[in-house]
Amino acid sequence: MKRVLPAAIAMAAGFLVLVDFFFDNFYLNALGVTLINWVVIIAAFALILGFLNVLSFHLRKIIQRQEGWLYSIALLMVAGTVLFGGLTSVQGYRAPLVRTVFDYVQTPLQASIFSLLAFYIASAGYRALRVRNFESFLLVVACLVVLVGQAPLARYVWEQLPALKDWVLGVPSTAGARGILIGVALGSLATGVRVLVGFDRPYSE
Amino acid sequence: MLYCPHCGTSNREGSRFCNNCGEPLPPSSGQKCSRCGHLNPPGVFSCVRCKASLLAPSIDEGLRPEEPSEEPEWLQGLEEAPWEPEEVLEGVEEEPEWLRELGAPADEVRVVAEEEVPGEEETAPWLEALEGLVEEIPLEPREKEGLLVEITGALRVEPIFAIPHRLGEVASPPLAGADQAARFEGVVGQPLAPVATEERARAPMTKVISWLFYLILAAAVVVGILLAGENINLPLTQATADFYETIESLQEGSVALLSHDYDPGTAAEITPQVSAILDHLMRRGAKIVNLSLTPEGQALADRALESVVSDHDGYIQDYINLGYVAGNEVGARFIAEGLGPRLSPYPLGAAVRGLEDVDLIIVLAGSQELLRRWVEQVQAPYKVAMVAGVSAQVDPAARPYYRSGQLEGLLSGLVGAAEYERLNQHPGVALSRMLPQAAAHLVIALFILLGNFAYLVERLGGRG
Repeated sequence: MKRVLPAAIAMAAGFLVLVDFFFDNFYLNALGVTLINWVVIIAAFALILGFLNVLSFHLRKIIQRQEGWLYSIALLMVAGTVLFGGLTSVQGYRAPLVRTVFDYVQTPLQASIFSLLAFYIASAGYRALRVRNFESFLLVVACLVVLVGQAPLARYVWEQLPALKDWVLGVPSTAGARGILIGVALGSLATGVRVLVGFDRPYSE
Repeated sequence: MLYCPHCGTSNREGSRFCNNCGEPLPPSSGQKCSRCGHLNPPGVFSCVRCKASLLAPSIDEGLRPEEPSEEPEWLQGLEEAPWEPEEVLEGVEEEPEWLRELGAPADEVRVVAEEEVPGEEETAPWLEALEGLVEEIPLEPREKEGLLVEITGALRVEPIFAIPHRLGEVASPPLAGADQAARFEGVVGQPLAPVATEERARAPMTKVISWLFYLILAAAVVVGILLAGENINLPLTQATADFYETIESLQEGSVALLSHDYDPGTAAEITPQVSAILDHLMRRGAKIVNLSLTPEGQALADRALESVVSDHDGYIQDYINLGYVAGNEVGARFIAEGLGPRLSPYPLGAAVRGLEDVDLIIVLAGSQELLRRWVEQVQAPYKVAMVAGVSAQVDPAARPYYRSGQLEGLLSGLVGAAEYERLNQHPGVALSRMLPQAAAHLVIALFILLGNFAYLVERLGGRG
């Protein structure tokens, strides 16, 4: 029963939403919308569970003095500050305390980490993008065309460079991306069917 | 530690379920160390914590286990009870038809089978030919002590090489092969062989080159910022022009739904796009519904709206930020199905009763998954007009949707924002950042060329 009941509920819910997608029926639509609303509510509660899990994990780390426990203290302090600020104000995430942490801690830190990519790319470009054979030659040429063609001064390097960049992005690159997307879609379809018929049960793992 | 029998993950002592797979864990079992009291997993011979031997004292003292004191009761009962054949079921005695067809009665067949003793038959010719070729196997020595006294062929006790003990802790007598074990321990205990000298010599040089590259790149960006201006003549791409035309075609009072699906990491590219788009929408007099499928997006949307609205004094404030919607893919579908009820408590709800009143959806995505959610869950089933602004890394994944017509326009990265600002005739932060970005791009391109030149020289040198 412990295995059959969750599978039956999941399969029934999945089929209902799927049927609602294909047929225009008032009752089916109402049922489908209700299920979708439930998912959003459950997802919101899952966030609370996730937060509690992070909390217990880092508390244990601090109590057991595991490696990096000082970072856990910093994490819990900031989490506590944001939670306190959000819960004690009617403005929610717009509360001044939450806003200060977001504007002066999270935003600059996340932006800094992302901007470091430019330096890693510069270093990796020097080391890894080498012409070793015909395929790597094509890769390096395409990379240089898009890199320089994206810059506003590209036309001063070669007048046709921006157009060539557009062609690389619009034809070969799009063809590859389309292939990947079709593959992803087929994979999603197969996974969906497996879940619907109960071969895969990610909800009971 | 408790080890999960399902996935092998180590779990905290006293856990009832596995932290990894959630399977129930068996009650605590294993061997308790007599020295430190640590509960060790079954199958180890020395304590995981203090390395003390876990072998029972009886085994340590000459590998001689105690003899059983007396026979258990159940065994005594078995000896006393005489063996009796099982009752024969009725009907089974009858000879089956298939056996009758063979021509021999069942009893005879059984007797013949019992009388056939190997060795009394004639030896097969192929077996006779083998005689003399196979060496006679010497008889194993008989065990002289322990439980297996007088038994031949028993496996001898061998020293354990896989889990080396400290010799001092292993009880006497000295085990055969202990010197080999000691030698093995010595080899394993040796410090690692030095890395190739050439590689070591190159490591500081590599570090210097990396730092040199970083400095050159930083210098190029700084110089670009210092020289930056808004009068850069950008070539206009078709995707940006289509985006602009789509918004330009909106009538006054049209409804646009903006989904701010990005975080501070990609905000440097997307925030200038958002500012330019909001500026355009407000000039067109559109009603704007904002929301986000990422938790950070709701705060970023607030910042963008605050900065743009302050520049539009005449704009009737027909905009709202619904905040974060949980549920990922389902969140997008939730908005498509329930936009009316969500807006009904607000003044904008009078104009927007559902997705059918939305004229354009604008997705601002920092990753391709976030863009796909809107295209797959909303654009495809509901056939709503949609455009997207994405970070440059998402561009290749977004372009198929633009080429297929599912996206009517596409803004890509900071360059897309700068193009839009130029079309808007309202220069902003994106245009002023074009020169530093161009400088960084050109420097990285030069690094790639330099790397290839160095590689070519190295290869030619190797051949010479």
